[in-house]
Amino acid sequence: MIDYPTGGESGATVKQTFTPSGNQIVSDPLTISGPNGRIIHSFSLMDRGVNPLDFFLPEQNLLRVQLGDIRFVASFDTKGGLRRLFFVPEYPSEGYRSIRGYLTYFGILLSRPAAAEDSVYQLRAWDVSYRRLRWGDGMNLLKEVDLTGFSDFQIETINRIKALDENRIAKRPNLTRAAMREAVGSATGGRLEMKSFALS
Amino acid sequence: MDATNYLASLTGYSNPGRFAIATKSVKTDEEIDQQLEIIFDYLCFLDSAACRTICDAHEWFLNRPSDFFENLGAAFEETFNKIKNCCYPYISVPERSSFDFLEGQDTYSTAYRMLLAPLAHSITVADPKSSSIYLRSQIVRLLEEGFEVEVGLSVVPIPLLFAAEHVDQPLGKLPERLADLVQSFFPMANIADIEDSLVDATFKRRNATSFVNHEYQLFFSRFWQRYKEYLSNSDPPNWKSAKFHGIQQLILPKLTKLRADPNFLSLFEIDDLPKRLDRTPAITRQPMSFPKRLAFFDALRSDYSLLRLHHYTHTLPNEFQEHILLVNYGLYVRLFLLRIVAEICKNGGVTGGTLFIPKMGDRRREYGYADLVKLFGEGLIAYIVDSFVGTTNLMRDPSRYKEVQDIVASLLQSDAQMPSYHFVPAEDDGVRRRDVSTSDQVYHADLIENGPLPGLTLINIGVGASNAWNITDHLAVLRPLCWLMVGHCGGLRSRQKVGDYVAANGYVRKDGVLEESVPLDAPVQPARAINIALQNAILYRLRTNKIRAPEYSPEPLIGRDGWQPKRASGLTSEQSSEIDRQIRTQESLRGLLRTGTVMSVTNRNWETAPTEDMFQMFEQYRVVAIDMESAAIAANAYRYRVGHATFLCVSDKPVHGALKAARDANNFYKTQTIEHLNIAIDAIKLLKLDVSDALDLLHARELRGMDDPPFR
Repeated sequence: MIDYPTGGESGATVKQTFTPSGNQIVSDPLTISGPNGRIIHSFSLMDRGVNPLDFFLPEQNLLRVQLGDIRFVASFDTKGGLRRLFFVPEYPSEGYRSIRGYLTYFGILLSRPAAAEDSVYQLRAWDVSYRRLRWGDGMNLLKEVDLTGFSDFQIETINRIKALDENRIAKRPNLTRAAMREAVGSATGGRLEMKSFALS
Repeated sequence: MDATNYLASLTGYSNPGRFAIATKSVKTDEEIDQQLEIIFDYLCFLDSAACRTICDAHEWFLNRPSDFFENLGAAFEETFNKIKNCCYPYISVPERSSFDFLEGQDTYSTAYRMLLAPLAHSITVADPKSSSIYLRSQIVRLLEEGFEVEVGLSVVPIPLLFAAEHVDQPLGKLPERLADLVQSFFPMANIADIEDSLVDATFKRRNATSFVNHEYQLFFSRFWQRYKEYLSNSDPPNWKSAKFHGIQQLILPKLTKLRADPNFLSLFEIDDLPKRLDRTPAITRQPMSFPKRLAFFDALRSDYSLLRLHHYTHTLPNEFQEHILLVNYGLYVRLFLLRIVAEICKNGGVTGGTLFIPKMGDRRREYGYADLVKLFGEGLIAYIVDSFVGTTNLMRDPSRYKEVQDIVASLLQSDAQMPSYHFVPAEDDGVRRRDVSTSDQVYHADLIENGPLPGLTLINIGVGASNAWNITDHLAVLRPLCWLMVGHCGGLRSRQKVGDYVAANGYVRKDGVLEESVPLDAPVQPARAINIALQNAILYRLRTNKIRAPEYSPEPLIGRDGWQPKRASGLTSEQSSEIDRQIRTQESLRGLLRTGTVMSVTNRNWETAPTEDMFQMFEQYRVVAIDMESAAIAANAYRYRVGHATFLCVSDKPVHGALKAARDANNFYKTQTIEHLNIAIDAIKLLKLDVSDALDLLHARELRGMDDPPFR
């Protein structure tokens, strides 16, 4: 298991406990009282200190790929060249449309060596410069990435993505969307950040 | 005749839907993204096809032999046939049944609920490429909410001047004998069509005379006369046989190509000419509802402003960034350029980005990392980076300071009326992830020190309310996220010092502009998010000792009236010293930054007039600072629903005898001025990168009105 960089271990007030078993689905948001009256509602396992790829069973992860809960997100320049490629291990792919304007989700930067320590970015769901890719397109882009200078965390993530892809091709699930959704539960992964109230 | 019947009599249908494609409702996010890409690409394509056709026709027209013009009737017919369909593209959301409205009103978010009403919403679009981020963000929202979006060619012809601007094609000097003919053969901009009635709420939906954009009244030219006839000829057989000439040859291959992709047909319905026209007569028999507007600015109003922006700033519309700083001092321009140089060159140019300085002559001047190193030399680059990113002062070495200033002076653009300068980021970055346990202090410091600078535009607008009014009228069509006025003011309070800062939280508008559009008692207030970001940026600078805190009183602060935490709760000494430190920081902030009412006047030399009235107003309105531009910018931002704020530096204290004078500027004042712009830029950084601030700005509810169109 890789050492997953998270923010959930220290300092935050965790109001809800959960059991990290394969079938336990997180449906209630984790409410964190941030400093200065800031309130963060997180649906993300990463905020609970859990690697989503470990949290779900491998078979469930295959279904999550099909459902779009695990996916690639990329931004392109005006000429169509790749600017940045992110891997999103938990994408809030359902039920979030009405709050899309307040939503962020986590992406792991894979198109270049890590600038920050952990290379996990908080992407804005309302930002149209990020395009959600089909899995195959994302894998094709990933193959072209030059891996020199990447951090251990990034390399490890890429290895796991490749393993997932091989597994996916070998055991392509043949289920309806509803059945797949039932098997993995509702999508996790968003974070809503807002100030409770402020006067100026 | 009301607008409904009028348009029906003209076109037979509110959206003639020529060459239209309409989305099907799809399930997955990837499909939505594909739809967005195709729609936007098609929108750009239609625009450029129409503009290219009209410019080609113009060129063709100019190159006719002189006997071509002998028979004007025939000459006109031929020219008209070439350009009659060169129209703006439109975006439309078809009408829904009232059942949809009842079903959906609980599930849709506020701004989009109105789209469920049984009315079509549509808008013509000018130069979609230039406002791609704005348009794409709005269209994707529609698609995600499950609306069908239709894109096609409208019936609003593109005026020749605007078309030439879109495709960046010079029209050439007209021979004298042709100048008048061109005016009547080609569509020209009609100022009656260019209006702000929706913004100013003077728009009456059922009154034909106010909805002028969709009215094609005679414009004393052959083109408009003929065009009216052409549109009103709504007989289906004639529509079918209508020859689309040039533009058809461009668009039909595109549609054929799109159609060849099997994926396309699962995402879109394609309504090409014959199919749509078969449906048209059936539609005309229905009682028609007039479409509402989808956005504030239609194509003609946008194009008008984009042309004027280019005129004033020599900048093409797609080069403006989302965050805009407005200044009126040359010093700020130089400081801005230096700060940008520092941002590009820090960490050896890893962050990237370019400094873009528009110029009329060779048009583009872009400076990347390599260019800047070449221009300044490595020694000076290190000096600049150290001055802005490190803790040292730009003025610590007078000879180098002068050297830097000389090079920067060579960069200044002088031929534009309102010179503008842009920082174009290399990549639009995600927010650096915020660990939930980090405090605001640490997070903000990280963002300011390590975060990439967002796209930023600075415009030197010059002095006076009319300048400010003018440029903001045109900037509004770009739908920027924020306008931040960074300028100087006269401080009116005795505790203020020259070099202190002022953030407005209200305005007294004595500048005599915009009184009709924004009533004087309208509650014009700056965006809360920007004021908070400014405050956080100052706190960061105070903590890192980049700005000098004002003198403290020597006695301990704890125990003064209102601050008694130590006595009240019996804290440990560590806790109480922490509280003491926090209180001192707050005290320093209060000493440096005064938040209050800003008064803007037209008469800069109010000191020479009888001052009793002014003193009375200062007291009545609790005025903190007096300047000339802030209120005009604020009022116009209020009018156009743009987030704005005012951040001023006290340059003189007229009431206390310190009148404005160049000689008087002391060293403290100079340092504070440098920091002034730095704080503003840091605040912009926070506004983009801090998720909460970005959200507060994006969803500033106080900006929107009751019946605003769905697009931002």
